[in-house]
Amino acid sequence: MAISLIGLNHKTAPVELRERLHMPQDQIAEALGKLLQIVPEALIFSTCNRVELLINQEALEDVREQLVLFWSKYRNMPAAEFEPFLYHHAGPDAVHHVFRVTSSLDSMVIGEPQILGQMKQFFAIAQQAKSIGATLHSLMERSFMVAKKVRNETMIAANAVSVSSVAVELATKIFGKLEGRTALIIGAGKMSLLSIQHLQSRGVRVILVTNRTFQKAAEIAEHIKGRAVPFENLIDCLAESDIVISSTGSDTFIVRKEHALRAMSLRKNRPIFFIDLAVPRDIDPQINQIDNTFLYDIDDLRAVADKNRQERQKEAQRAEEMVSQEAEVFWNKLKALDIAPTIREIQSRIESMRKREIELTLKKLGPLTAEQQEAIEQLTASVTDKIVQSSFSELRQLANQPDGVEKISLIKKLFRL
Amino acid sequence: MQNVLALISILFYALSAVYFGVKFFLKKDKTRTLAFLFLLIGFVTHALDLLVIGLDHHRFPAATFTEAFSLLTCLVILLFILMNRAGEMDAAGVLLLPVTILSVMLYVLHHGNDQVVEPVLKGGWIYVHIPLMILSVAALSISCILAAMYLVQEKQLKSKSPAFFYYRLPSLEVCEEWSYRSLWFGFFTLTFGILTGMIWSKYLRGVYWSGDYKGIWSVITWCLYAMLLHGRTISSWRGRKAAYLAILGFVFILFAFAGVSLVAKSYHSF
Repeated sequence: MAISLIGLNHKTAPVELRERLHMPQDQIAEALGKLLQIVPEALIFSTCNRVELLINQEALEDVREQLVLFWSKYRNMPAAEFEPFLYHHAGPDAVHHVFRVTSSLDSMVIGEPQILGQMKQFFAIAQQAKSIGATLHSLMERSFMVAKKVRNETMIAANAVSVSSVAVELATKIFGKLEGRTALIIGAGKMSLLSIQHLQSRGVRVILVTNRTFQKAAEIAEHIKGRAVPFENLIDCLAESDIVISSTGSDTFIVRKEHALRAMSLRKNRPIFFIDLAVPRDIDPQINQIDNTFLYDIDDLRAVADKNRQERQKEAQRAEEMVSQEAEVFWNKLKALDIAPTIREIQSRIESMRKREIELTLKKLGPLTAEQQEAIEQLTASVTDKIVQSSFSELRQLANQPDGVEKISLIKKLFRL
Repeated sequence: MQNVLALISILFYALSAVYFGVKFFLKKDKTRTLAFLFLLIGFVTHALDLLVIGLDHHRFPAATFTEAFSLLTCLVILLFILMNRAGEMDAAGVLLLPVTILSVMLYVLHHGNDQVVEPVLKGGWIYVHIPLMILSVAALSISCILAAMYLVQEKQLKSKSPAFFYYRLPSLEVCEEWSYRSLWFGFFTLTFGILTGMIWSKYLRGVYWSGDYKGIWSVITWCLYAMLLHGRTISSWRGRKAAYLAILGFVFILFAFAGVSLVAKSYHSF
């Protein structure tokens, strides 16, 4: 057993290179087929942040060179272009790396949830392509369990770390459930559309859109299935809305304190959450002083996101410890299950027994002809070979059973290894 | 028997308190069903304990301070169980359970020195008046706790730098909505409690209103809550203002419930 991983990721390689090496999902099976010509077990991970080959083989001496060669041929790229960016992990390091990736500790945003699903997909592709055997199979399954454990027992994925998800998180801290709430967007930048999508997915039903030019508002409203409202009706809109997102190019405040005060009295002081994504700001910061209104501008949201990210970093350290421990445990188990060394030991032990017995016999028998000696040699060798061969295939099967470790150790005892 | 029940309830309350504590401080939430079961067992044994006390002494189990306190926390837990089925208010458990455990312990330690119960505390309207009053105090305590949680969470949100409590307390909506609901419930029970008290007074001594301190305080508190509910309905007092008033009202009712008796001894102790 020799697990090996070679690849590059967002930390080691620039995005242009990752793009060129990236394999779309529908091509992975084919690539695995080619890879199987040089190694017996292989998996390919290919996302926008990483491309990695994970293999298990015993025969190859120069794994790295062989894989680089394969890759450069497969992608039609001179090896020199990507080789400096590659990392190569072997044995326990490879296990550790896979565990880190699946647990989202190697991701650009630590704790992001997509990677686990992606890894499961690559696993499924490899299973379909029949490119993995027992070892990589158990490695992947174990890595999914570790990822789940990390997610459950640490807080690496707990709080929002992007501006739009922080806005949604704050909204839920104010309103509880967001189902059936009304949101208003004033102007429309990319970020406010993103936030609206987020809010819609959380159940915000009515979206009002307003803009200095009504035509523009109508276009946006159509795009996000909202309702366009004339800009003159701003106060009525405010009174109707629970969440207000503003991102216009205006130099002066669009929503002033008196607007908010009137809206609040119209809506009987039910809370409003103002989100000001514009620079320069659209919403008078004094609005935050009014009871039952909450105002966050882009810097405030970023500050919360940063804080949450720091929290994640702290948790990430705990997660790293967990992953290292798990990787070590798994590696030791693999090692114990690895019967290749055991087989070699048994072989050499039987061989030395045979040699000693022949020596003794020859001494007793006195001088023999070369042919007679050869015959004895062949006879004994074929007997021991038969015993060894037939038991080894059984041994391999035993190792793959749940209590493989115990059984192998029993056999070792039998041969006094 | 009493002590056994009380000890069992302390045990189960403590077990569920561990869950609420772990959820609050470590933010780990795994065994909610089990914790809820523990809480339920704690409550049932607590209630049985009070029932046994009542049967043993042939009176309503609210004649001494420790009895009344234990009955109060028992009802608070009942309301908490009913209101918190979705687990939104689990954070309140961190405060409620230790107080409840304390109340049961106090009773176990102090029930030996029972005072002689005056005959007026037996029979008839008392069985309606006292439970209603204590139920209303229970509802109003929950309202007060939620109002306090609202204030803390509101401060976190206004300050724009969310910290410890932001991550642990429920949303403003949950705090406000449930605080308001329990306030209404507390107000209704308080109203009927006062009315039954008056009827009892009439039946016992021929006057509806004897003008004792406890009665006066209760009515003052009633007026305060009436004002708050009126303001909330008519002039939309919400958020911080409503929360401060709910807390103020609770201070008043607590004084009416326990404090007055310390100042002026009368038949109307608990």
